[in-house]
Amino acid sequence: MPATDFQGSSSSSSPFSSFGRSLLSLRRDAPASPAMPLSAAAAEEDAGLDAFQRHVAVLLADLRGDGGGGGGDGFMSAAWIRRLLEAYVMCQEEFRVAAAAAAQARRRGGGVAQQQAERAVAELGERAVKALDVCNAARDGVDQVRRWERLAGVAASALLAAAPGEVHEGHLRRARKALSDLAALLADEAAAAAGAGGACGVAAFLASHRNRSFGRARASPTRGSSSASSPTAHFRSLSWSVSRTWSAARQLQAIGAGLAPPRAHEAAAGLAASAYAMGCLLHLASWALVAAVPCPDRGAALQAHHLPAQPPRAAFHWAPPLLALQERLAEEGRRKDRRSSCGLLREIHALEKSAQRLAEAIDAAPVPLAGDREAEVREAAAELAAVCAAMRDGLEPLERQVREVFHRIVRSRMEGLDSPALNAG
Amino acid sequence: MEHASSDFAVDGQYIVQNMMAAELVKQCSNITLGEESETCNIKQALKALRKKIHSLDSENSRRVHDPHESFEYLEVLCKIRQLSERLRSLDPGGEAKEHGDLTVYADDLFEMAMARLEEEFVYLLTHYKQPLGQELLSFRSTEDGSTEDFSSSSFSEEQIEAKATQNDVNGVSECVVADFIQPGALAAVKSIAKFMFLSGYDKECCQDYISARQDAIDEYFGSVCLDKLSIEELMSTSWDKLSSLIKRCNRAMRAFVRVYLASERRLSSHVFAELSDSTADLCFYEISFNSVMQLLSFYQAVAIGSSKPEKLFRLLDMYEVLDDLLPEVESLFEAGYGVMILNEYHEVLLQLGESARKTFAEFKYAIQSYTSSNAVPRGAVHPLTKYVMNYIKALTAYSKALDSLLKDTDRKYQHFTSDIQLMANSYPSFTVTALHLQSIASVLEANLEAASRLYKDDRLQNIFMMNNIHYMVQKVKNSDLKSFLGDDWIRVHNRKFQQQAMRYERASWNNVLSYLSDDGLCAAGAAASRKTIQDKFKNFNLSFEEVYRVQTAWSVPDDQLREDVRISISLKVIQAYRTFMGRYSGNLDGTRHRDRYIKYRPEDLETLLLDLFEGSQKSLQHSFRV
Repeated sequence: MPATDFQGSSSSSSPFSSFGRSLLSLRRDAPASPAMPLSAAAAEEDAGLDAFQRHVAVLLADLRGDGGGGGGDGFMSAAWIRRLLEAYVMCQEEFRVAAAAAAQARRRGGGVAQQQAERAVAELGERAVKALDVCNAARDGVDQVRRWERLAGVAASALLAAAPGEVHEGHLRRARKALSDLAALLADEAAAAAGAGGACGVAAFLASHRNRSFGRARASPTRGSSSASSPTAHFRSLSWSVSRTWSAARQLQAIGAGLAPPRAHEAAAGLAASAYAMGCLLHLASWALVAAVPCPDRGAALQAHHLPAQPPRAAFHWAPPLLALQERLAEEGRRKDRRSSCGLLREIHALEKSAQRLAEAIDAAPVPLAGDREAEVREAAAELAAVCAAMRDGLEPLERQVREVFHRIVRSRMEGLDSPALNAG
Repeated sequence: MEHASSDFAVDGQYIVQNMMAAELVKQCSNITLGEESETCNIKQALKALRKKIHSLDSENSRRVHDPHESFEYLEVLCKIRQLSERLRSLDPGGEAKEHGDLTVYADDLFEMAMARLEEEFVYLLTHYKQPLGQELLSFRSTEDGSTEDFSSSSFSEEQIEAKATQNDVNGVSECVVADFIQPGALAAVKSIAKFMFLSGYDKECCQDYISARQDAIDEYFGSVCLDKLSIEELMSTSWDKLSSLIKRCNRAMRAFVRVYLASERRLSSHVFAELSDSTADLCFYEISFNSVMQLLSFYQAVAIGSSKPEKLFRLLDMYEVLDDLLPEVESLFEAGYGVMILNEYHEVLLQLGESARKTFAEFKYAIQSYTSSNAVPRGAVHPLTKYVMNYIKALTAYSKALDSLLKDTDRKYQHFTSDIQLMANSYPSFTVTALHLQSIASVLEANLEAASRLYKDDRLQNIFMMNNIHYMVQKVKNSDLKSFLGDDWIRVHNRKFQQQAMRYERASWNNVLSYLSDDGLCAAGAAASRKTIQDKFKNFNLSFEEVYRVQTAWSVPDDQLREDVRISISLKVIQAYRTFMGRYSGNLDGTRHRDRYIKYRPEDLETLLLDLFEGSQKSLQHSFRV
């Protein structure tokens, strides 16, 4: 097929439309630049690269200020992660242009400086390729979450299907069954994330629930009633599209490995510094993804051992907001109630909470159900249904954005593969 | 009543069911006496049904059971529903409380039975599923032949595997669709799905179905031994291993799309299409999404790997597989849900094409920039010539894919330079692939010219060029390449190597022959001419021996060409020698050491000429020393 829109027209417009600011206006907003030694010849190019750094800073600062907006935009919500990924895609595009310009310059001039810049760009490319597996793992994770959402949706709709005042034992049983299936999946996931420690918190609560829910052990292979050990675990290990031994924590480590600010005296500090900014941004985006949704060895990834050396705050505009986001992410991962959860994604947390609330309401419900009790159950079911709807709304664009990042990395890699033959023209 | 239950009777084969229905009719007809006693009877009937469920349940949960027994659940559920509808239609009268309780009882009983039915559904899906038959997995046994594979970039491969066999799966793949659920159980699965949908259990039904089929797909992938490798792992896999993985993956992809997914799709349609098309689509999409993405990820990983020339064939294999399967994939995922898969598929196809194009350009550049530091010994065929000619010969098998890949690139990408454009203008009848192959051939020729300059001896230079161009011509003539490079090319290059042969001949033999001329012999007297004749023979012998010594070391590997060159030499040299001898040998009769001058008979020379170009140096001088 013809390679017409190689630059990807598919959804490239979306990230730009969501950030209305132009580079020019950004330059005005940004704080004064820390001085860097510039050679006169490179001054113009470096001015562009400086603007790039400021842009990264503004995008990150934007992501930091999530408090006021509320709604679906909160920290680690699907929408927020999507914005983080959009920011990455945007910066990557700008960086690509800058790097291409620098490559042009190299062809004209050459020299040690350009070789250093070239190396920085190539290194970034290698890091980005490592993030491809993160994207794939995250896609699996999103798929997994969608499965949870389906089960939760079954539970909610079982109860909401009954006319008001008509919620009976049968409805409760039906909802309970879906919840227990959900619990089985969540418990597996939490156990996997928490390592040998086993499930605790919500998942454990739900898991204890599933044994009561049906009151009989049937030889039927319904997933929910099968034990959490072998068959389910087997299924899960097969469903990951990364290999069995793949570890999110190790991958993050690899992405961040050797990520260090270029020395200021290096002649090509401009482009190298931009590549550095991209590397840090890439690491942050990968970390957020891995932390958000279930994926192999997520538990270890929550801890901040894989963080690259801190970028010096004073030298880079984007360092303070980046560090703040890193800090917040690490903090979130340390929180007791989150550590045992199945993903830091807000929607997952909401799903777990609502599912638990519904399970408790069902547990507490006397039969026959009446008055307040029924209202409570219905309310919990309605809440869970709303959570499911919000999750569906959030996951779909997130999933698309994850793919977009994947494709961007692939395309820039394809461009980067150009050999001397192809550059010579 | 009959009518309602016949919804779920299939082909009237379930006698049990019909018997039970008949019984129910009887029961119901008995309860028309009065509403009060009817309520009572309904209660009795419901209790009986409850018992029935429990007994079914305890029987079925403990043993493997026949799919037609599943219909008993449906039967019970139908009855509960009918009774409950009947109940609602009754006027509760003074017994409102009891009536209400009974309604709730009926509803709860229904929900309980539904839960059992759902389990029965899962049971059928898991217990009666059939894996893909072994004959459809045949690609496992035929894979990984030990064919050579351009595995070395040392430019020394003589025989090159042409196209990785792509038709081995086609044999079984056309129109083969397997039954994933045993036909005997399919009817029950369908009926239960329908009942679940009509009873508002559609979400559960889809969820169960998707889970069961996802398990099946994972088992399938387990059985075809496709290891899951992350992109990073794939990129660091050695080429040999990757190459065999690619072959395996190509076969798996064909079988997966043509057989597995087609069957999966048909199963989804069987089970759900009556209910709603979009449900069938959604389920199919959810089931297959992960595995399709997984396979595509493999292709993607290969596409972004390095563009070594030897990769081109595998890349083209992959491109062709995906391109071939595109119509099938498009029809499998045509509906709204499949858009994401289709996008991914197109994207991977695009990247594979791009990668193949780059690798192709890389290959050409590699030839261009290849410099030999040493002359090829004996003027033989350069390994580069063999490599390149075998390479492009193998490429002709991919001309269709190459045509579509190269068509638009010349304008868009700089790396296919203007020579193609120029050629396209002068040879409008050639395909893009043909033009590119011609361009590669001429790049090779230019490289050979450069390599020939490494010889100090002009004559060896000629032999080298003759050998190499002859090799090229032979490769072209005896393969599909002839239709790509064309008759003109063959004619031109035939002439080229013949010219080289002529130049060689002139440079090598004109000097030798000069001693056999009549110059200075007719005019001089008999005594003078005897001396001249002696000198001429002596010089001829010396120069012949010198040529012999040097050129026996040279090589013309092609038997026919060697033969031709010798014949041509012998025609000139032996003929001239015979004539000269015939004319002047008499003059030396009686002279001392006559045999020093007439050392060789023409037949001797003829035999000696056979030693030329055999690649092993021989010398005449010590044995015939004057």
